[in-house]
Amino acid sequence: MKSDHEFLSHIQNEYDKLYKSNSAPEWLTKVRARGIASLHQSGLPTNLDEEWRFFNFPSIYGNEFSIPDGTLGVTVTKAEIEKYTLKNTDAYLLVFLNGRFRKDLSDVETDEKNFKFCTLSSLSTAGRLPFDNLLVKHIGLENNPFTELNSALLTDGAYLAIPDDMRLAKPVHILHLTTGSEKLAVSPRNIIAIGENCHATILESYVGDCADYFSNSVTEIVVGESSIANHYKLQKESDSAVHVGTVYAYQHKGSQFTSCTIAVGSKVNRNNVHVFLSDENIECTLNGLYLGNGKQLIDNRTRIDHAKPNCRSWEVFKGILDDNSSGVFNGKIYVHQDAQKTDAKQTNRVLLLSDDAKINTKPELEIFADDVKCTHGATVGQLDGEAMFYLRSRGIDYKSAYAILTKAFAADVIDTISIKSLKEEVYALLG
Amino acid sequence: MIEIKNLWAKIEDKGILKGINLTINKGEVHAIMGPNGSGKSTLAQILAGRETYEVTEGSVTFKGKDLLDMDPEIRAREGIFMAFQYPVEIPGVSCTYFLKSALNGIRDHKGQPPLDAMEFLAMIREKMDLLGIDQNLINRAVNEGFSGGEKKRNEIFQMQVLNPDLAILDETDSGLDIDALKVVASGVTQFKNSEKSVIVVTHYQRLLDYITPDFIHVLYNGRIVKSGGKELAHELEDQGYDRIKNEADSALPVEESIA
Ligand SMILES: Nc1ncnc2c1ncn2[C@@H]1O[C@H](COP(=O)(O)OP(=O)(O)O)[C@@H](O)[C@H]1O
Ligand SMILES: [Mg+2]
Repeated sequence: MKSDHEFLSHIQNEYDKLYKSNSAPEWLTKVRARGIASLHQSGLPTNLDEEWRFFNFPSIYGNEFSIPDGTLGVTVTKAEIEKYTLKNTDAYLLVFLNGRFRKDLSDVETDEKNFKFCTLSSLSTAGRLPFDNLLVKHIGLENNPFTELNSALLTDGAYLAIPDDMRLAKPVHILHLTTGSEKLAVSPRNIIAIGENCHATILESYVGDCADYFSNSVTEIVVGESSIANHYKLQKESDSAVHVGTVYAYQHKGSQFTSCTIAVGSKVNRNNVHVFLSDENIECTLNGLYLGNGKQLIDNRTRIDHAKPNCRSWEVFKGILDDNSSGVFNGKIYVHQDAQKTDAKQTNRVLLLSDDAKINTKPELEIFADDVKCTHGATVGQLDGEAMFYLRSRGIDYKSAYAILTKAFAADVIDTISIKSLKEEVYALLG
Repeated sequence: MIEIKNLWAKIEDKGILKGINLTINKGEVHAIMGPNGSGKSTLAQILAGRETYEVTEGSVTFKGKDLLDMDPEIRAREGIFMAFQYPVEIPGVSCTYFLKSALNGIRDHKGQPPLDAMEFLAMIREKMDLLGIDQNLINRAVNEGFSGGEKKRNEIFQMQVLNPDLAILDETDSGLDIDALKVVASGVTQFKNSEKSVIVVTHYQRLLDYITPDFIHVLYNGRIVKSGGKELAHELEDQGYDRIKNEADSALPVEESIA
């Protein structure tokens, strides 16, 4: 087994091999250099770090993942993409294959005025530094080495700039597919900048059909003043993959942000979600659903920052864990000194379907304002045997009864999904 | 319809049923009475397939088949329905969805096509009217926040929709005011015919004024200690269970009465 240091030197080697003499645009070269430098400075986390106590590091550090150079000549047809796209739903589609944009597989035609799809790589010629406006540092977020790792190895991702007063007619679906026969490390980065008075719905999904790979995604979302944004993330990586995914959202005054992180795939999964409520009268709904079976580990860490007065946040994370799977939920609510009249509610509920499934749950409230309403609650339970018997005694078979009860358990989270076909897809995951 | 022979059952090493014998023919209504804790609900739950009780001896034959061998859902599909003494609240599952799944499970077992939403609604509408069940109630989650009376009425409503051959009503009358009791009783009366059998488990003879049983059995300490016609109910009403208890206790083998 390799150590975090050895893994970092491996990353440095890959970086040198691919990017050192590479003629990437200046901004990208800078971002990568900054990323790798910070990594060396901070080091990669280990289980000794409080925030990473339960994570499975050998699944990452123990592998010599290679960084894809191009899409590796993998051929994927539009028909093959269909199994990952939304059913009967008209959506803008951006497909990234092994970290690179594939226009031929995407569907980005738009007649909406002033709205264009862009990818990070296509920003190269413009010579702009989109990151300077949006990058996590600007928000003053916690240092997360996996975000630095993503920057260091950055190749491509979606860049959506939604101009003021735009109501997107269709949801945007950003699809990251990892495929091929190599043990890859992919670093998708999505940047979504939503202007003022907008209405947008975005789905990012992570899928794969190859063996071991490591997908380390970062998504940054800025929700402009008085805008309404729905964000869904569906993690359906292949069974042997490792997925570390980080979502940062920065909300401006009077905005409403609803997010749902759905984690199903991969053997080891870390979900970081961090929302910053920067101004007054903001509403944030932060939901999550994680489904574990086999030996899966799903490790969730969320943080909501209330920086200014009169904002509300509702957070509901639900886990359904079967077999030998384990889950972690660590949710922090940070109420800054200025944030009077904050109303924050956090709930984590877990359904353990087997005696061997485990959950570690830890809420953290850090409150520096005195006139606030903050509540949190966690429950861990089993499937209700009485309810199972009641359903079965009416003629409903075991499997259906099981599905009915698990769906009912997850319903309040799933029902917040505004894309009907996605909602149905998520329900279908439960039988 | 059903033949229970020498049925013994326990839970966590505690013997609860101690040799029940009971035969019920098509078209008959049997009442099972007895003091609290005698094992009435245990018997009802075992017939419905509750696995928390362990049957240690005996057999139950339902319409010629070995009942104890069947999963609860198969028993329901074969025609057994048990109205729970304490109906379970199931948040997040609407009554309509639940009942439609149940009915279609039973129909599938009988080789009938599933009812679509329209057909299903038309069918339950009629039963709802009969029982005075409100549309709002069936849009709500199963039993969640229902009053005691609503829960019991919902059980009878389910019985009517699922239309079993043998209905076992476990204290469906308890906690009901007289009007609700009449509604429940009329629900049972409508259901009952020469092809169906009913077991009414009750504590009081009140319900038996509306649903006339063909036989009454007194269950005490896991045994049927007395059986008779409907007049037995009045006898019990007048004398309480004490005499029966005393008789039964003194008839017990010595070591058990000491314990
Ligand atoms: N789940 C259970 N666990 C332990 N004891 C039980 C359980 N269910 C019933 N019993 C016991 O079995 C006996 C019979 O109970 P029950 O069948 O509910 O009686 P009844 O319905 O006649 O009042 C009682 O002594 C009761 O405490
Ligand atoms: Mg009882």
